[in-house]
Amino acid sequence: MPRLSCWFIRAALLHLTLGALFGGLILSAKGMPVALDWAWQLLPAHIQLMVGGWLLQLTLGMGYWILPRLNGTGERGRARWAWTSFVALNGGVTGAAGVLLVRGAVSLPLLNWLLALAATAQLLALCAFMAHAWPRVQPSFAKQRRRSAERS
Amino acid sequence: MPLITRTMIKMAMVYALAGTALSALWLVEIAWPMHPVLRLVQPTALHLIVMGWLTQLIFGIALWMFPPWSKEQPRGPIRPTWLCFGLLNAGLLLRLIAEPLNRYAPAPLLAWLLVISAWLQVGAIILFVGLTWSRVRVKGSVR
Repeated sequence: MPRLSCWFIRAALLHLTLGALFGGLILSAKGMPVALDWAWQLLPAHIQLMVGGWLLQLTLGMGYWILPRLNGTGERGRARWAWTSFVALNGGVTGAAGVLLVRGAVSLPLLNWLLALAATAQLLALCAFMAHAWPRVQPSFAKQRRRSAERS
Repeated sequence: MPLITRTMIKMAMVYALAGTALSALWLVEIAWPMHPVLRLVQPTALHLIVMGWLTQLIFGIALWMFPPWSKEQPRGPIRPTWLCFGLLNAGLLLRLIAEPLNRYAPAPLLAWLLVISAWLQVGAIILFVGLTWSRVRVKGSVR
């Protein structure tokens, strides 16, 4: 497994753990509405962590690992784009989750700007990953070699 | 493909079907009201798909395909993986029963079942993270 996939997948596991803890508190609040009424404030952060931090991040990490390589030397190509995607996604998801948690208690215009920044970072992450992965979505290198051998 | 993976994938497919069916019933209920409890199943259906289908499918595939735990035990200790499977599915099944019914007619027993279901699922996830963390590593590195 390449180093970047390790980072993606471990970060996804951390987001899963935190998101599940929040989800556990929210589901418990349905059973104990008086004692755990405050847990509902965790819902937007729970969704961010589970969808962006867990499911999306895991698919990007697995994609970086298993999509076809660019050539026979095993190059994945454009690794900087993929690293940018990792940094932007984690900044975006943790930033959004953090702001959504704080926003329930504090109302500051700065928080709205931070939320917009986090959303932009998440979009940037996806664009960067697409820039990395687009050329890799192709027939495998062995298949390409077979085809060119058949032609010649 | 190991037995735990096959079991998880098959169970995941059952949840995909159940979640989609419940979601379909919720949609039909909006158009042609049949029973008020069907109005309350949407969060349950969503979690059957996200936890029962997507997350359980990922767990099963990860236990199979991630770098090996060790030469002797390539997929790690077996009993905790089955415990993880048991906790996740017990939690989801309890949720499937208790969540809509508790919203329709709240009762202390249903409320406690919901709390138990929540922490069974959290337990499964913590166990899975513990089991796979050391398997997420660069090729050639030692656990």
